[in-house]
Amino acid sequence: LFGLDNIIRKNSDGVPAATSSTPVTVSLAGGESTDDGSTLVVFLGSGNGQGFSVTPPSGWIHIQGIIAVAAGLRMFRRGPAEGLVAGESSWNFSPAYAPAGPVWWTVLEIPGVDPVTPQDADSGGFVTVASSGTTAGVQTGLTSTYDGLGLSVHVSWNPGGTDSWGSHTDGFTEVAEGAQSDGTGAVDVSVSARPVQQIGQFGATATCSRTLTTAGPALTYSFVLNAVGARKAANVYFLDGAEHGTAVGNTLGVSGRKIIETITGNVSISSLAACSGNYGWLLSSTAAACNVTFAATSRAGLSLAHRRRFRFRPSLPSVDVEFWRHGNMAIRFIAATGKLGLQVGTGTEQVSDQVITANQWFAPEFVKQSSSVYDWSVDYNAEPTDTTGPVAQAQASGTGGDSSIAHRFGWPNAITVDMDTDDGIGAAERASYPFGNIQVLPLKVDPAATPTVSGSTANFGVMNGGVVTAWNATNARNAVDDVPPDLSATRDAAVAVTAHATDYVEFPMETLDAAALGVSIRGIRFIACIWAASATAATIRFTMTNGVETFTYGDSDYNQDNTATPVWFCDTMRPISAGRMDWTQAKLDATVFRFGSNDATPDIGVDMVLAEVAVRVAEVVTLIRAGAADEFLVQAAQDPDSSGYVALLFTVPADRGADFSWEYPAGTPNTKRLDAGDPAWTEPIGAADITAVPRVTIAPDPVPA
Amino acid sequence: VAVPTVVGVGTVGKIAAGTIAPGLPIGWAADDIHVLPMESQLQPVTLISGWNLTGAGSIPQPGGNVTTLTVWWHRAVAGDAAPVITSPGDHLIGQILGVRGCPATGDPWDFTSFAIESVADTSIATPAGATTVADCLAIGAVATGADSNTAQISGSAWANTSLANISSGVNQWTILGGGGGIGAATGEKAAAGAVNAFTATLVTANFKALFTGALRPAGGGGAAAGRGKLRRIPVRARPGRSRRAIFT
Repeated sequence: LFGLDNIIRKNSDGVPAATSSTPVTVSLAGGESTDDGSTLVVFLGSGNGQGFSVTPPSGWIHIQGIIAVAAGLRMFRRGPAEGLVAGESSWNFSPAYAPAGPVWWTVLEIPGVDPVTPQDADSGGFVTVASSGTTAGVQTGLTSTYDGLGLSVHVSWNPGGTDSWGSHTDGFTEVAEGAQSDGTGAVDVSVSARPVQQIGQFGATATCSRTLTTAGPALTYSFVLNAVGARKAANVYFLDGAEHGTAVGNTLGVSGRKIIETITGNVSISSLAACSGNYGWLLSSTAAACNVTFAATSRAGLSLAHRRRFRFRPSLPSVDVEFWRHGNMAIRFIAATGKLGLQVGTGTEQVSDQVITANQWFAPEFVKQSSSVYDWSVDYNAEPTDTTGPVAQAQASGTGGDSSIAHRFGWPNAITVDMDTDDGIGAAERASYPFGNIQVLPLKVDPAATPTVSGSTANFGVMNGGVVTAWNATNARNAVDDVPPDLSATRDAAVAVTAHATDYVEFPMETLDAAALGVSIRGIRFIACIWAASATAATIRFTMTNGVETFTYGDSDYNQDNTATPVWFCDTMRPISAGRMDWTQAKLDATVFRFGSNDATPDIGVDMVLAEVAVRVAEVVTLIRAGAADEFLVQAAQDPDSSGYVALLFTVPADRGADFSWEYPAGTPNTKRLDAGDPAWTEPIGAADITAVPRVTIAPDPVPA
Repeated sequence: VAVPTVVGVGTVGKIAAGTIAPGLPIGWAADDIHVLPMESQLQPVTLISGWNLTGAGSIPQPGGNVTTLTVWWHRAVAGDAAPVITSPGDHLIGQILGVRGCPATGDPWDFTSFAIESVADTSIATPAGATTVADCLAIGAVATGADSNTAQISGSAWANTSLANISSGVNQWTILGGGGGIGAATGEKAAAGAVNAFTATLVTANFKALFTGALRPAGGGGAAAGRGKLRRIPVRARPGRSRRAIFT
């Protein structure tokens, strides 16, 4: 794990009157040089209007920076991917301006930084400027790494003296500080660091020795470096469990919010095709094409990494089947060998190292490293109860080929195949690969909770069989809980009957106890079936919130109607633009769905609301084994990404008992006694990361003398 | 009845792949109890011919400084040689602690307790326990995954407020493989009762696997089976002997 001792070398120095005509030489301390595999981070602080250009010197990567009126900050990094080799000791950086100004720099040498993705979250596209008060600080965006090194920098220009920084917060420790005067004022650079071993936002707020001013401001920035091999939380962008239970009308809706784009051939959603949850996609063809596609602008189309379970039944196909495509990458079943092949464009097809089995779920997953390079793996036995993991396959590369399909499962040619698919997941970040054992489970509206109206209940009603009656909360809840939706003459819905700008109906959703199920929550998407009294244009708006983050979809016309072919709204609950979400049990418990309408002519509403939850199945690891034959066990169902303990499992033999204790949350002791012969005990935990359970202990009863 | 005494420690054994043969303590004799704490990556040592497993604790962190502490014991018999132990994977390091004055038959442990600590700090606190008989020798041990050849128990300084005559016996770390090592100490527990944590300070902050156990004295009785059925009987102290409790 990354710690402050991973900063194996550091050095700082200054130049009182740096100009663009003379580079500033940054160097390691006397006689020292870089190690093989290290990464350098350089912080350049400048004052009195001097600064450094955004354009990095050759072999360096620009992190961030600014040249403000009085002060400047620029940060660069260089690692093995940029050509840093063992034995280097100094580097030149040229100031941007001819008029002289003071510069103070700090260089850190850090081994073990991921050369492919060295940087995790940062505090954004701009350096934060503070020009009042005595403190400055900024946090990164939400991180993804479970093994990183957080770095914060504070630069200040004091026009009449020399600053010092201290009292760094958020667990940061100052690792270097120094100042350079030009005779009138001085620039001060303080660099602080902390280990980052959980998802969160990190950044030090530090206190300056004087009050900051416009003429004497402070600049601050924070970012996190990834350790090589660090596990990362999946940033789920797309998920698909087909838990809405019907394929009817799935291509209808508005662009970007449709469930799917097209259906070709005999595609249905069936309980027979479920791997997890209640439903899955069933594709069955006789000498025909059969597939589902997603648009290029859809979340599936935009995802760079995907995983999905497939199953051929009752037997393996007798012909080759291209069953999954993402742009110009295709995965096919090869009938002659029983193996899978992945081909990018017209490049060489990489064939899997093992065969797949009929009537058994398997799960390929891939990550698009570039437009011509894909990594992939195959979980050959992806049955829900199987614990064997995926097997990495040879990287595939190539160019050209058919890229007209953004994302598709199923086959485009006229062949005879029966295939199920379920538990699809995707992410727009490559670091989310591999996803591992993902299941997508349904959550309906909470049958024990009562929907509420924010605003006037007169604006809402309940439709049954096409007849709208006055608002009744219980009836409204019962109207949207049919999965799949009832599209017959007894169809019912909760509806808006009078236009309102801000009112809404809120449906609390069911939840699940992730720790008790032995899973971690990865993502949620909502699916709503939309009804309107007629085809006349009307708008409806949706909001999903988990109590922390709220996502609103403004009033839109989804082309809904009162027919047996419904129109759908569907989207993953996540930031609309950049950024990521972490999911917790508390957020899941707080998740609700809202709708309202600033139109409501004709009456418009929802006749089914469903959340699909993507969960990562924990893996069992043994923490402690005791006794002559390992008869005492402390095991954990562990999130393979965060290493957090989802649950603890205690086992004792028939002839001796044991006392178990654990600390969770930190500082809270818990105990469990199992007497001899007691059945194994499962203790749900739900820890976000491994440090959340600081200590676990077992004390077996003594062996009789 | 007397508190078991430490005979000494043998030579350390350490290797990445292959076998180690940690030395027996100089001056060992038959019926000595040889306690062998070992550190490995994430794979406990599962078999040592002729030795008995006490237990193992692991820190299962993917990546980072993972570690496993495994503790074995063996009652010495004449002709014993250094045990040959195969590294379970990445690396293995172990050192034998010899103890004299334990029962000549049966399980010599009065209590054992393992803990794992997922806090990367420098403070060591082995799990607490309680002896059921007087005059035990308590042993505390720690393993970390520090990739270092530097002995990680700062100053070899251990403490235990419930014990007398604390002695540091083992302080061995290695950079072989992913690196790691072990530290161990002993202390005397005269009266039956609570054994507090052995405490010490690490040179390098780390996650830890921890062990505390107590070896019974020869002739000192022992615990009965079925904790819930134990009955504590106070015994009047005889002249020249300390008051103690026994279990029947």
